Amino acid sequence: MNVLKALILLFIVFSRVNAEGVTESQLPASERFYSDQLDLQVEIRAVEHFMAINQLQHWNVSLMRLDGTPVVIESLTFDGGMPAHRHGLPTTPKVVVTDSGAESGAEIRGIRFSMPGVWRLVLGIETKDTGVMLQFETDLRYGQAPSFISAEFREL
Amino acid sequence: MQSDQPKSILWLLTAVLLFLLILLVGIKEYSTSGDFDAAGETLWSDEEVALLRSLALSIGNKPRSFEQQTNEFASSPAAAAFGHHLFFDTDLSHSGATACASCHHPDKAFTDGLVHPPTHLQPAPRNTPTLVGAAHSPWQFWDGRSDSLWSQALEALESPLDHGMPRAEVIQLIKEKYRDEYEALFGMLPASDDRAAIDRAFTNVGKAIGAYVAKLEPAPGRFDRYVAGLVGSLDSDAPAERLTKTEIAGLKLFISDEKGQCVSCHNGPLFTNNDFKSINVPDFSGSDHGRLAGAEQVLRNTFNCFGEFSDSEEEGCGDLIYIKQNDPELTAAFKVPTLRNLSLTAPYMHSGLFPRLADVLRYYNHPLQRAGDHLDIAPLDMFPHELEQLEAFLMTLDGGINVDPKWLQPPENGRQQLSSSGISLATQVRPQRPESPQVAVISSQH
Repeated sequence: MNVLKALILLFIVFSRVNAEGVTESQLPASERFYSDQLDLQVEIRAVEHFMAINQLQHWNVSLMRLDGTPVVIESLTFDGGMPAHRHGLPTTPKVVVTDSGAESGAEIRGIRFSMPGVWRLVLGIETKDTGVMLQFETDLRYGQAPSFISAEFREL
Repeated sequence: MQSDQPKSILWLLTAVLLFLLILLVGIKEYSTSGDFDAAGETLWSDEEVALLRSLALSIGNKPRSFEQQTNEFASSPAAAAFGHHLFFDTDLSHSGATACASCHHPDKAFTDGLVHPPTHLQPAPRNTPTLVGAAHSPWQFWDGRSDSLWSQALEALESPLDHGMPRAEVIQLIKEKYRDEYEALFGMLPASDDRAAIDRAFTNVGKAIGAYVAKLEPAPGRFDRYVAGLVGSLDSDAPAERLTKTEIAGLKLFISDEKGQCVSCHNGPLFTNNDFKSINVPDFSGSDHGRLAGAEQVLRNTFNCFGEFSDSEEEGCGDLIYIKQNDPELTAAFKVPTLRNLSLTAPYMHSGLFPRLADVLRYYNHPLQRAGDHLDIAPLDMFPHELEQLEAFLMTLDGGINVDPKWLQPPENGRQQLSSSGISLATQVRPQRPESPQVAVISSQH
C-alpha cells in the first residue's frame, strides 16, 4: 500500500506545482560564477528578493579561490542595464566593502530590476593583487528562477 | 494462489495510477504548446500563468502602500474621514473656489477629463493623473517630485497654480472650521506665530488628505476575475469570467516578448513598475525636463521621506536613498502610469495630448524619434486590428474604485462650499467607455 500512497502523493504534488507556479520563497537566494583561468569564484547572495522583479534588494558579494579560500575585496563597482531596452539601472546602488577577516566581502545595496527580461550586470572587483571584471546576463521572468545565460571574467 | 489476489489488485491499481500520471503529463505538455484547445478555450503556458497572476488584483497580490511608510495616519479611519472633508472643501483655497475634487473628480477615477487644469498656465502644463491606487507608488506627480500622497497634497495646497493657500492660512481655516476634528487626531492647534508648529500642523493636514486618498483602491476588473478563474482562486459562488477572443489576443500582445512588450513597464497589479520613461510624447514646450528635474526636487523637498515631518526611519526610505538622478535617461522621462480604469481617465499621457486610447496606441506604433534622443520604446509596428485587440484587452482592466460609495461623494454633513459651477460627482462609479471623444485643443498649451 505504501507504493500506492506514494503515487497518490506524487499525483497531488505534481498537480499543485503546475497550478501554483514557483513562489519567491522557492527561488534560489544566491549564484556563483567560476573562472578556471583566474582561479576565482564570485558569489552573489541576497537575504531576500534575490533577482525578484520590482523588489528593492541588497546583495552580499564574496570572492574566493576555486578551493574556497577567501580573497579580500579592496574595492568594488557595480553597473548594469538592459541592452535590448537601451537603459541602465533604475536605481543608484551603493557599494560598501566590508573587511573583517574571513567574512570580508562587499555589499551592494539598492538594486532593483524594474522589468522582466535580460539584464546585463557588471562587477568590477579590485583585490590586493589584481583587478577583475565579471559581466553576466540574467533573464528574469515572473514565477521562474533567474536564468543566468552568460558570464565572463576579464582581468583588468 | 488466494493470498496473491490482493497483491494483483494492488499492482493493477498502481498501473492505472501510473497510466493516469503519464496521461496528465502528456496533457500538460500538449496544453502548454498551443493557444487554443478543441473547445476554443485559450490555454496558457506555466510561465504565462505566473505572469498573469502577478498582474491580477486579489490573487494574493497585496501591493505595498508607500503612504504607510511615511504617514502614520495612513490607515486611520478618523484621519481618512477628516481628509474626506478637506478633499471636497473649496474653502481650502485662496480663491474659495478650488477643492482637491475640482481636479480629481470621483466619477472620472479622480481625474478631470481635461488636457490640463485651466489654472495651469505654465509653459508645459501637465494632465491631472488618477489618484486611484496612487498610494502604491513611491512617487507622486508625473515627475515624482513628491514621494508621498501627503507631501503631494501639501504642494498643491500652497501652489498658486492650484489652491494657492499659504500654510498659515490653511491652519487658520482649520481653526475656524475643523478644530474638533483636527485636535481629536493631532492634538492642540498651534498659535499663529509659532512657525515651526504651523509647519507641523500643515503636515498633519496633508496626512489626513493622504489617508483619504490612500483608501482609493482600484477594484478588480474582468481581467482579474478571468485570471482568478484560470488559477482556481475564484470564489466558489462567483461566476467564471470569460474574455473574448479579441481581448485574449490583446492580452497575448500585451505580454508578448516579440510584439507588444507592454508588460516590461506596465507590470504588477497596478500595471506600472513605478519607473520613469522617456517616450517623446510632445508637450510643445521643449522645456519640461520631467524626471531629471523631479529627482532633484524630491531630494530637496522638506516633506520627503528623510525629512523631520516623515514618520519613517531613514532606512525605510529605500527609494529615496537609491534614487537615480543626474542621468540623461531621465531627461523628459515621466512616470509610467497605471493602466487601470483607462475608460475614465482620458485624455492621456503627461501632456494630455491624446483624447482617445486608440490615439495613444497609434503613437506607440510610430513614436516620435529624433536623433540624439534617448527613447525607452521601440515602434510597435502592429497592424490596426492588433491595436484594436490591445485596446480591447486594456478595457478589461476597468473595475472602478474598491471603496464604499460614500467616500466618492462629498461627505454627509459636509461643510464644503462647492463652486457655483459645481463639481460633477457621481453617486456610484462604474467604468464605462468614453463617449464620442472631443478633439483636445492643444494649441492652448504652447
